[in-house]
Amino acid sequence: MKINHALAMALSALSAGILISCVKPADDNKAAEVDSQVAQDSAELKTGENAAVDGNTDKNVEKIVAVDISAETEKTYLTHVANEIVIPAYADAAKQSDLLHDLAQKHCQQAPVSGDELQALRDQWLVLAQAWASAEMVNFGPATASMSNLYINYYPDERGLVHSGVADLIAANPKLTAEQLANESAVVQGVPGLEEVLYANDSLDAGQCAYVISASSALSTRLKAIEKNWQQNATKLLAIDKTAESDQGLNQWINSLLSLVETMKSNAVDQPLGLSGKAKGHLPAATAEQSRAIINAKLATLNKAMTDPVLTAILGSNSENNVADNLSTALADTTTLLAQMPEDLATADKATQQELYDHLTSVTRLIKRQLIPALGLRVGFNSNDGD
Amino acid sequence: MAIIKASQKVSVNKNHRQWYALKAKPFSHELLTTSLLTALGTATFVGIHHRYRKQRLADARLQDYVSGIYAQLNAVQSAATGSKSMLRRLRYACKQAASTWQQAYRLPMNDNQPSSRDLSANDFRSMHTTTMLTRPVYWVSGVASMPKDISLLSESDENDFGVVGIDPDRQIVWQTTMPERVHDIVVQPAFDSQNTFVNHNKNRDVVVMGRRPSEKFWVLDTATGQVKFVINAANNRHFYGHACYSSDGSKLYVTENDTLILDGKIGVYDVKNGYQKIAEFESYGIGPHELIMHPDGKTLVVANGGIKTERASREELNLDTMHPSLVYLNCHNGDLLEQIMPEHNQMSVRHLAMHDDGTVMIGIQFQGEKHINVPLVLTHKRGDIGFKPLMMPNNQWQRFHQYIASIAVDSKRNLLCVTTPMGGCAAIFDLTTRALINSISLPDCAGASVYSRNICSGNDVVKANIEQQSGFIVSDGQGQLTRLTVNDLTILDSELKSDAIAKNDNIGIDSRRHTMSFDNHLQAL
Repeated sequence: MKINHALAMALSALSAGILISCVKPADDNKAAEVDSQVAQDSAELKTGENAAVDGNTDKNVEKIVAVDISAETEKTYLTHVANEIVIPAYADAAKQSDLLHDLAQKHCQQAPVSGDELQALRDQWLVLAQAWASAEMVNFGPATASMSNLYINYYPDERGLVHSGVADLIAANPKLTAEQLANESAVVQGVPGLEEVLYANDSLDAGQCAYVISASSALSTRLKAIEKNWQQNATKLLAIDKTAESDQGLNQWINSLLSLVETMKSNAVDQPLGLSGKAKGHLPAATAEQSRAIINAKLATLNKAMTDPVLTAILGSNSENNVADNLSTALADTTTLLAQMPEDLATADKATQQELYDHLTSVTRLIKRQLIPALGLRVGFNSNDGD
Repeated sequence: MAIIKASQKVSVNKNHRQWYALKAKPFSHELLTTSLLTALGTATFVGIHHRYRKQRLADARLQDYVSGIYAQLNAVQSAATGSKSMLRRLRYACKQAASTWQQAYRLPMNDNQPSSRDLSANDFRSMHTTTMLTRPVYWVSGVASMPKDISLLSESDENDFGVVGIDPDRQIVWQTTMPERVHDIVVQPAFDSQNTFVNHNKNRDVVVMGRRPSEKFWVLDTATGQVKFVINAANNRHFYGHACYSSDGSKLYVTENDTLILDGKIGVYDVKNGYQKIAEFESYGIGPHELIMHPDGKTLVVANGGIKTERASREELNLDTMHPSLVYLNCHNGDLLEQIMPEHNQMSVRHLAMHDDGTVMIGIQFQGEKHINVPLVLTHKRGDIGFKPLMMPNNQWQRFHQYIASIAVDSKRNLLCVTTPMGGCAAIFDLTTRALINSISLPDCAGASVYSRNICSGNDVVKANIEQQSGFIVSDGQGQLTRLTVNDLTILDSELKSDAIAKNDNIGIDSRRHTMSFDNHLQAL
């Protein structure tokens, strides 16, 4: 081999090595995002695709320092979470279901029900659906045990089982009672079943009225049972009595909130809108064309939890972090964007849909890379993304 | 050695002649030739890299290389530390290239060639950071969010995936960084099926499989966690997350996917020959996941999950038409011995454990409608017509949220442990009655392994006591290693018949917390 050939080979390898090593950091960041994993070192957070939060994180490129949380502080916070966030969320959902039940009994005295009366029922259903969307942030405890949450919200319904299931049930049981319904499949119950009857029909006949009355009653019973369970077992469910020996309760609560955003991002935005692959599933409240309201309710709940004064005080005890401010700003930006979108997110243009997805990604990253490290916790992952 | 010296002499003489020839030509001509060849070579290298990069990242563009150079130059100008970071990345890239070159052209290794083995190990040591204590290792697990030794932070902050070795007190003995999320961890057996000692503990290998679909697996030293080999998947093959050793530890069987026709394959790797691929069998299904050896030492048991995925993707393509199965293969030639299908075509057969009596324990992941209730923990023994489900109170399998992540069997006490991160619990079954003993709330739990009966040596009374209390160890994504011990195996007939949930106090729970997230699988040595 000639010397200039050998020299050319060496120079080629060197220059290619430099080019490849320069492109590697960007690739690593992209790959990490695909796997929904965390790079704990927030010093290397900033990439071009993070533009949505970069404005907020410029000043947070430094390492996140974990806050020192005493057992007593953790106990106070978890008690506050149970009493002021979790239990009221279930109580509100039960209350809204009761109100729908009362309204249905009032308007259904003379079927068929249509016009303003039907609209009133639909409006109350939407309030109920938003209340449950808020309560869904608690993805552990009695609501999810043995997948009982499917009886409240069978979502996503990828094969359209609710539509035919509810119609068949009403046809077979025109005088359906709440007790009979409670023993039926999860597919024909809860919030989606009520949505189907209220929005897929221009007027409600006697059988449909009976269904609305029974389904709202059965739903109230389930929601009240969950609320009662939390009232009786909050200490155990949030490991409030174990704060001296472990951060199990705090870990579970914060990871539950993270799971809420990740599930919403994937099931309620990405997949139905087909943003990163083939479209799959459907938007929440698709029959009612009210997906924006549902996502807005979830964001409001997340905002309430993240800007909670007790949590903010804990995070503020370490003046080196701006985690609470960053989260608050990112959530406000997302809410503002959502407010500018149409009620049915499917009718928004692709760029805005993508922007919403990117904002949710930013919120997820802040929780993973700033909030969780600041609280000295760990990002769980097996329950979101197993194999 | 003599051969090397002789070739060096020839090379020196040749170089002298070339030097004089070069001097005779105009310098500018040589410069132009060298520049053109360099440009051509660079373009070729970058082109090859870009081709593989494009397979991993669909939106990869050639201009990213130029953008990368600009970004790095800006970083160098804006911060003094930037140059250090760039040099570190460049050094890592050079090490990767060197090791890949060496892997591609290395001679077959065996115990008679210690020098080549040592050279390889040293190279990988510099690419993976390992920290260790001098304590015995009893379990190994993949992790994420792995904390780093503070003194190594500047050198090892590329990622936070890793593998850890765990001692009997559930403390971390060693930890080794990994460039991607890992899945199964397989330990080379110390004894074969006839209980004959085949490998000294300190020389045993640990194989770390990348998460499905992956193009790599790593071979580590059990005692120290040092990386010995990195094995790349063959062309048009991806590893599918699991592997198992032959009974004598001389071969490694790996579940793979043919990325062209999307059929399942079993790759066979020769351990003594540096884990070179020596054969390939059909898996007789799509999406093979876990595979285990039968205690007869001749039969390979494979879980064909049935889910079709495209190259480098995890998106399921055939959920409505999938056909999962459990297959028994002749481990020497890959002949199909037996194939069993579950009752529902969407019951994905995923994770397996082998009882000493040859009964296969099967963990199902149901891919059908969420409200459908199907059994998720099954057993099968060669010759049985179909699967046999275990028993849940009120037949309520939805407690496991349609997903079993890991399964571990204690043959001596006839107990089975299953985990479900989706359901946030671990459950223990009594295999004698086939009934659920109890389930324990463990958020995000996944890894499960037998709590070794041989952990504690010493006087017979202590050993017998430990044996009596032995149970399972379960790992979770929130950093806990939890020991579960069954205190009372007595389940009243009335409880079985009434479908009552077993009492809560018959399983002892003892957790130890770490500042890392444990991944899907945990393996005992």
